[in-house]
Amino acid sequence: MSVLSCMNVSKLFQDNGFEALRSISISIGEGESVGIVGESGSGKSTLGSIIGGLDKPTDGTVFYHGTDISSLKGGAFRQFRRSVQYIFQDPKGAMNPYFTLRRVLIEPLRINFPGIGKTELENRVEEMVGKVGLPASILDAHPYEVSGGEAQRIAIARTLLPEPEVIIADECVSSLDLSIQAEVINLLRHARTETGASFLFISHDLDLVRYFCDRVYVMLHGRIVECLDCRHMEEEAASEYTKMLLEDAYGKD
Amino acid sequence: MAELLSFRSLYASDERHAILAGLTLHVDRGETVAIVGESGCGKTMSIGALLDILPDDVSITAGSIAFDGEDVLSCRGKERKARLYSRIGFVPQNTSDSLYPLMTVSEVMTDAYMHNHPDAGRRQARERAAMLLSSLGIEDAGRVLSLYPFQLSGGMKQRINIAAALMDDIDLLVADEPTSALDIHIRRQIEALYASLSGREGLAMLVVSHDLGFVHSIADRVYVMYAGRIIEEGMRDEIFSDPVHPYTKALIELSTMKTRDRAHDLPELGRLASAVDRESPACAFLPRCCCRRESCAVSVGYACLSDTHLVRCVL
Repeated sequence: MSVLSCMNVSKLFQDNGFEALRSISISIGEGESVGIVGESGSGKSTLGSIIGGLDKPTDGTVFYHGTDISSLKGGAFRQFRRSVQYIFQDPKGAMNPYFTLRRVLIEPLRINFPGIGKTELENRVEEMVGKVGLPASILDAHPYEVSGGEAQRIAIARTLLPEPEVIIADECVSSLDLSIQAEVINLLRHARTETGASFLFISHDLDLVRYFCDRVYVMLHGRIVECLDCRHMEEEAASEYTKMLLEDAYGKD
Repeated sequence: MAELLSFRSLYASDERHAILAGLTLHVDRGETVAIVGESGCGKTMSIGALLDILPDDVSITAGSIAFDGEDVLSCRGKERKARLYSRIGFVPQNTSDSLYPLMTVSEVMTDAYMHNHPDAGRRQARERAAMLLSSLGIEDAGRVLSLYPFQLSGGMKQRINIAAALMDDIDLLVADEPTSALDIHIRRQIEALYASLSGREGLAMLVVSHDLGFVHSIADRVYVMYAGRIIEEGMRDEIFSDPVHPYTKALIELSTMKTRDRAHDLPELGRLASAVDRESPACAFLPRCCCRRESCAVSVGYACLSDTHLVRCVL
């Protein structure tokens, strides 16, 4: 059974009447990495925030292990929230600027693991910071004092700490330069092997999605155009739009 | 060719660290020059030094900047703006945030122009704006002028920013990371737009970017920046076909890697050592360099490979 899925999800923004998603159904299997690719405005991020429960669809249902997430209450809902974690494009924007990075990391842990003592949580934080390749001394810094690459590592640490089942990464490397992009992607790949977490990897970079994912959904104007196996993209691509994306990424031939 | 803009041994630092460490570069009239390098190397700060938009805690400690033969650093604030802003157009990195949300495209484009040209009427300015938008390939310019920023796509905001920068008859267009965070289809369009601008009579461009594909498609000359100074410079083909510095080589290798191999980790450059002393005469790239020698830790000077090709490396 899929960990996370959605059925016929639509999203209409009431204020301007914009239909961002039109009857979308996707699924993410256990340990599977699923990509969503499409250009700006195609609805990728809206889908990402609805399937992770950050936003509500106007129509359709999101399922977590087969249960409608709108029916989850109390402990079950908290379990869902802990199990689905996000990494965003702008890591610093997702951190409280007044907090030290230590507090940025520890705060969500205290909420997710109320039974665990402070020292134990601090140990976990320091260990995780080491795992994402940063020195423990960085924990005393504030978000604005670190580089974009370092901030994205901290964001990844925060994502991994609650031991999630699914990680939704929304354009998580698109504002980083190539060498730092490579470091962050390698880090995510290792985390995936180590934890077995599923990924929903949202990006406009087709080659990166193909590198990172098992399957990819191609989106255009709020619809899924097609779903392809990343190992056989060229052979399977049927729609003109996907062919155009492939051509943009790899040139004609 | 006549020199339009020059930086001479510019040093800048914040309260704790050196940021620019002897930055020297120049842009000739009509020429398109690119500065490449990774985040944190000081690319954006060098633009900030020119336009007087450095963060509050950053100050220039030594060196000079000259524009059209006149010293730039001797005046600040309003005086600098009055002197430069009608001759230099600037497209900032984050074009979404640089458009005031409560002003229409027309207001954004005409306000600054009317400020620089007090005798021009709103109507004349608006006609000029409409003409510019059409010349940048925007159909239906009249409608676009009446829109607010939130009604524009990312690519359109880029174009509006470029058009706004071109409202005056400028000598130099400065653009900070014009293609980062755009998706590939729109990136191609913006690339084509800059390529057409780079051929414009009398317009020089200084483009800061880590997108080497973009730089290759538009630049006449390229500076490679590392830890606050230039470590290699040359004509575009000298840099792309014949790079000498190990850092330049690595950057070009990373950017030309076409398809990532699923079976392996992505190639990394090695981590940027944040603790490196930028003002030291030693090579700042040393901790990450694959082919370092003992002398690199002491000092390293510039070597000329041709009239235009210069490298700061012992190799």
